[in-house]
Amino acid sequence: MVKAFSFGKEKPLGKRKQKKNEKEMMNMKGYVYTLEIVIGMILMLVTFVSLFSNPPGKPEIEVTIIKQSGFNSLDFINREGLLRELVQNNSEAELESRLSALLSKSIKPEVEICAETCGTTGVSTTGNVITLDYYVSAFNENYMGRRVKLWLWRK
Amino acid sequence: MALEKVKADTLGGLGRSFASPRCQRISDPRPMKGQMFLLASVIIVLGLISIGNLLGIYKTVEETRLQESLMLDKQLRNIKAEYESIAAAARLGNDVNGSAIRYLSNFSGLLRNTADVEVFYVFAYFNASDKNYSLTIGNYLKDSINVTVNASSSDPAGIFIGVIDDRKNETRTSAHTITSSPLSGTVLVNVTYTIKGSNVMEAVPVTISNRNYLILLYDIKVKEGNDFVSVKDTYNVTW
Repeated sequence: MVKAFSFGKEKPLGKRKQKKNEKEMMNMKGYVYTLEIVIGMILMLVTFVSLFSNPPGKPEIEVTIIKQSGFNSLDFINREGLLRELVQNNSEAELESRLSALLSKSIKPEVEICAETCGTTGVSTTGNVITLDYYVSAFNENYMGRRVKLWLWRK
Repeated sequence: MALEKVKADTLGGLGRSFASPRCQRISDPRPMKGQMFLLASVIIVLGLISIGNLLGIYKTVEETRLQESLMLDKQLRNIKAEYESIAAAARLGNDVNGSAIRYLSNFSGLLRNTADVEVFYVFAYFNASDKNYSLTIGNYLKDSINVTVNASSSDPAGIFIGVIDDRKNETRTSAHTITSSPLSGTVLVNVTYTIKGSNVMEAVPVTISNRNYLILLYDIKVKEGNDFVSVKDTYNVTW
């Protein structure tokens, strides 16, 4: 191949040899095209992989749904007319059992009836724990100013 | 001659080896090779897959946002209902006005300490026995407000309350001057307050009759991050 482009130093090539070289060139051209495509595809793949290697994480919709089910359960107990009495009597265990009956079997509730500062006794320390507040201001003519702090997590 | 021949051969070789591919591209009757189409299709497919995935995430984000706003709305409904419970509970006690002022203040303080909530309320109580109505304004808006009150058929008709700091409430008592017989009517109390340079006016109608009356106007905003929901409503009882 190199000989074909050098001037004067080499003897002129024969016609057969020239044809052979041309054939070789045509074959090489095919390889070059293939190589270009392969490099192009690799570049594309590398670009896509680097661009989308860290896709935005799918938000955990389950958390919001569990939170809503917890809130709805407390609201249901309130509408039944039981919540205020339970809060006034500080009956956390009974409230928990009522919530367990309403919530999915796979969800564990933990209740704390408190005002501003709430303890975390009995709350799971592993995994995702969802928390929500439900306010209870008064029962009959008595002001309570309490909140039911509810923790929920998967068993 | 020999040199010329060599040049001619070599240039001819050059011509064939370099010029011919270009000429071939233009003049070759055969169709183009498929590699470029293949590459283009791979790019398009990858692009479509990526867009599809992105749209899937977008849908989930929107759904989560909707669920979170529903949750905020539930919290707001809970707080709104509790303000009404306070007014109802105060009505059942002996000292309606004093209890209501105390309960509203304590509950608003609790909310401010435990959640991202802003509350403004006006509580008016008409006592049928002494024929006076009392007005309490509570500011839990995270900023000071400058308040002026104007009331129809009242003495005094206008009261400049002035600045009420955050987490504070102010109470004023006025004597109504409705003299028609039977003693009845509505005193329209206009509470105007300025916060961060903007004026807000709330109108509270106080029913004057031979029965006790209370009205609670509340403006509650519950926030979470950049989202918020708010409600402005009144609750009233006559007994």
